[in-house]
Amino acid sequence: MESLQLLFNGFAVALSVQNIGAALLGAVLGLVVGAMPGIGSLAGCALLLPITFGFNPTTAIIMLGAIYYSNMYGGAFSAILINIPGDAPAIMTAMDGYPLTRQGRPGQALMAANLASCIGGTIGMVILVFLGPALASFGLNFGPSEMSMMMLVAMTSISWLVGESPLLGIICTCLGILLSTMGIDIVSGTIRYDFGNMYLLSGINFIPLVIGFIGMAQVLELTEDPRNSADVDESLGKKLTLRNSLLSKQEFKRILRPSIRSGLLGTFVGFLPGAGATAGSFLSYALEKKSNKSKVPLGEGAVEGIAASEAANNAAAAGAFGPLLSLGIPGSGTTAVLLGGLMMWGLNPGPMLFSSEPEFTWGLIASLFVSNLIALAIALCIIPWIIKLLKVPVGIMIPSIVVVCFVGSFSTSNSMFGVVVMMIGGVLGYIFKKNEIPVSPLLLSFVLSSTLETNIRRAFIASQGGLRLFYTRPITLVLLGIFLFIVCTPMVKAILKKSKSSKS
Amino acid sequence: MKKKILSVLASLLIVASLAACGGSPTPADSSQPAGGEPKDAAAQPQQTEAFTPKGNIDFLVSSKAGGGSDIFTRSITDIASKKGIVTNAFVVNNKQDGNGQIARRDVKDAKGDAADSTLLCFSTGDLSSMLSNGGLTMADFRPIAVMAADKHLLFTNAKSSKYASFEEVVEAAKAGEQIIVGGTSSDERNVYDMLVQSLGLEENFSYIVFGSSSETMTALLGGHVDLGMSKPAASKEYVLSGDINPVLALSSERFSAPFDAAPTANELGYGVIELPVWRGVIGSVNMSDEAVNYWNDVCRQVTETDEWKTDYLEKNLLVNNYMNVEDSTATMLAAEQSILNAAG
Amino acid sequence: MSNKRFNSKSVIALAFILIAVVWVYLGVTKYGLWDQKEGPMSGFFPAIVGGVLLVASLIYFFRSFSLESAKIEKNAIQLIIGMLAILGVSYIIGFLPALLVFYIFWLRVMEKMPWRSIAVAAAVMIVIVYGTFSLWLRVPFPKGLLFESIFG
Repeated sequence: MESLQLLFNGFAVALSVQNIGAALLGAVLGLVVGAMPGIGSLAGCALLLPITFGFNPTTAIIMLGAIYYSNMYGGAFSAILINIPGDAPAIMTAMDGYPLTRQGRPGQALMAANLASCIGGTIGMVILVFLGPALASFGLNFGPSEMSMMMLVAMTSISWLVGESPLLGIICTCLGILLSTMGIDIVSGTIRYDFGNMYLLSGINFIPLVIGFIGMAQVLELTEDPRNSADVDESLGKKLTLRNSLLSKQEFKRILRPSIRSGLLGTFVGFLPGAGATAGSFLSYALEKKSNKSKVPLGEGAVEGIAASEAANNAAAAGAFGPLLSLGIPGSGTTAVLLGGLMMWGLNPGPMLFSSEPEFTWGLIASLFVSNLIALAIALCIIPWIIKLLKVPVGIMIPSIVVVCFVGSFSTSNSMFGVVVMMIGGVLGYIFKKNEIPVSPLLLSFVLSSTLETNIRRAFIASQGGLRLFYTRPITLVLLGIFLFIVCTPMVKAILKKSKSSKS
Repeated sequence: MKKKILSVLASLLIVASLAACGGSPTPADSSQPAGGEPKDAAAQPQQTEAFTPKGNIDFLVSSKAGGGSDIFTRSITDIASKKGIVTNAFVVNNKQDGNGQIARRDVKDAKGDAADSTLLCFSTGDLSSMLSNGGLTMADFRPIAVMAADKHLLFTNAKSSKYASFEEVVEAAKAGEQIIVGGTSSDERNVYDMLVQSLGLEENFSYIVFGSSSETMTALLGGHVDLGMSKPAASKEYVLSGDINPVLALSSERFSAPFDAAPTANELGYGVIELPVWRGVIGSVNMSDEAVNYWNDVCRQVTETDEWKTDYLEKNLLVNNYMNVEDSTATMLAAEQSILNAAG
Repeated sequence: MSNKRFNSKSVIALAFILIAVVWVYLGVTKYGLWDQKEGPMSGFFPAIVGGVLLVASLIYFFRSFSLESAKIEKNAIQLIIGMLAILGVSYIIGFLPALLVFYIFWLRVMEKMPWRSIAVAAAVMIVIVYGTFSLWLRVPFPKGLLFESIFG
């Protein structure tokens, strides 16, 4: 195997003392910055990029890889511990992670997240090594019509997440879509729904919206808790030791399957140009929800949910390197920053990189393996310390999280507009919560729908205002089949149920 | 229709000729510290030569960290600081709210000393997006310097394309086939409009907007568009690897290798069609003349360093296009006019 | 208590209906639905989704009468007022100082903490926020009118 040989050479590069040191430093910094709400992996990479300038190119890129990778780990921390997802994929992590924390088991939640990240990431990298270039060129077949269908599948599976009230699920999905239409319409270049406000020309920033809708709303709800609950804190404090944070053998088994499954799915989605980690972790979570048979239902603190989301997220992060290295195409905002970094070091990622700079490329891939393990090791060491955070009384938590929400939402775009979005989102999120209206469909459709709309319209332009593209391309048809299957299954089931009950 | 094209071409010719002048600035007019202009001296007892900015320099970028404008800005500030051209600290601030309109408004509104120490990275693309957002025009700013230039090319997929040359594309379009062109919004869209207008084939061409040049390249590699528009930097790797072929140079003369195979629009008999994309620096309309000259001089010194040539221009396949204040002003105003004309 | 009454959920449903109407109206009248050559225009997608939202919200509106009304707690409103105050004060004394003032105020007045604990908590927050965001990551927080006039 030629690629194995090259990978071993890569390890020889990555495992030099200097490079391991760089990876270690990068992992620690990436973890810390990734855990900051509002910074997330995109801004984290961009902000930490200059730190790598002091090193020689190979070391710098290895450090960059470590920063990128550990950022993904860090994102889970704030989502699980204080219910503030740092970026879109972490919304799914928070859905099960935070309930588990509330049950006094933040250690298990974090450990499940980190182990799943490691498993998912490793799967992604192994696939990258053996099938990277091939899968990347397969991904090129995903044009406007394929992407539309893929996003349609993703959007319809949002309904799986709602459960209790499909009506409210539909309402929130629609609301999210409408909010995302504000600002510039990139297909035609017109500006819509800006209501004459200059800040709305580019629409609403997503990260402040998430911080508001989930984090701030959480704090507003916390204010209602009785404050003199010292006894509760005591018992929680006792539980928060390293020994009580370990996953039981059974729990480990429970996360293994979803991690592997999501790792595969996440890698595949990561390879598609423009799909990104959000769609990956979201689809995996929805799939897990659909196929989960364990005692704890997803959304109420199931380790499977955390594992599915985190494994897919990290697998997609690794998968995104496929198109980046073999075609020079960044699959997400974060990889775009990475691309900028690579170019600053005189490398031109593109179809020739693998052949023209093998030492470098394989060194980078090898360093991803190394930083994956380093990030896991560091994250596991941090867990016993960081869960102590929950011993802090609610009274102090409230203003502290408020401050973090303010600072985080300002930092995403360096403007007070982010803060205003966060505040409005917080109040609305709180009102939604009080009225049992689910917010995650709103946030997810907000992220996914612009990709859906742009691609549908591109497909129409490419077939001159007709539907030709949607029924002439094989991959589109397959995806269309999956879409119809998802839509029709509940209906068919309902009809079968009715006919059965009428018979008996 | 004809008149419009003529006016576009006329304004482009102005730009082109200015660009040619700006390419070789006479040392006398650019390095001159503007002390000779009597109108400043009246208000200021100090010699204008002694102008130094106060405090930190806010350098605003109207797009996200890691993008082209960001790299341009950080290259300037890195070189200016490292070489000691400017001793004040630069604070690069990425403000992408409102399609960059917020950053532009903030620069415009700067007053007093702040106006003299606030800079904005500005390009043809920024100008196009500023005009389509509405509310701001070049009259709200003081052009400081144009520093680098870039132009566009059209590409076909080398493996799957039905068309071997741009003439074949035009033939097919005339025969009634629909040609799908992919490219980004703003300046690439503007130059596309100029092209189809001069061909008179608006009905047979469709334009799909992509978020970035790498998305355009992805769509072209996947065969989802017939023609892809891009600047040299974003497409070089694919041309070298033989995945795509350059078929039309939207420039007054051919590009250098590996793009030299592409004929210009003029060679094919469609007239000169180009929209040079310059990158430069502007300040608030409230910036003083002394400050404008000081910053232009800083930009000149930056463009004369080896770091600028090797680490920025060569790496991004750009052409050095430093201009003094008057030429920069004329170029930016001419570009504003031609964008307004193309948009109708 | 009668089961059928206008409550908080009905108000929310009405708000959703209003949003749907605005989006559909602007989509149809201002942004355009369909172009012969290019297919859907800017207003098409929002108008359709707005239509779905309108129908769904109407159903929800009629169902809402049989649902329980939600109560917004006093504490939450205090915090909302606090947030608005931060926004206002930060224009005068700057973003980070305003947050610090809020932090100390909230701990002292709302939580009735002893000054010693407040000092410790505030010190930790200052290190985290100022240290990482401001010093390390160089986020340019607004300085506010007061400091702007002193330091320029």
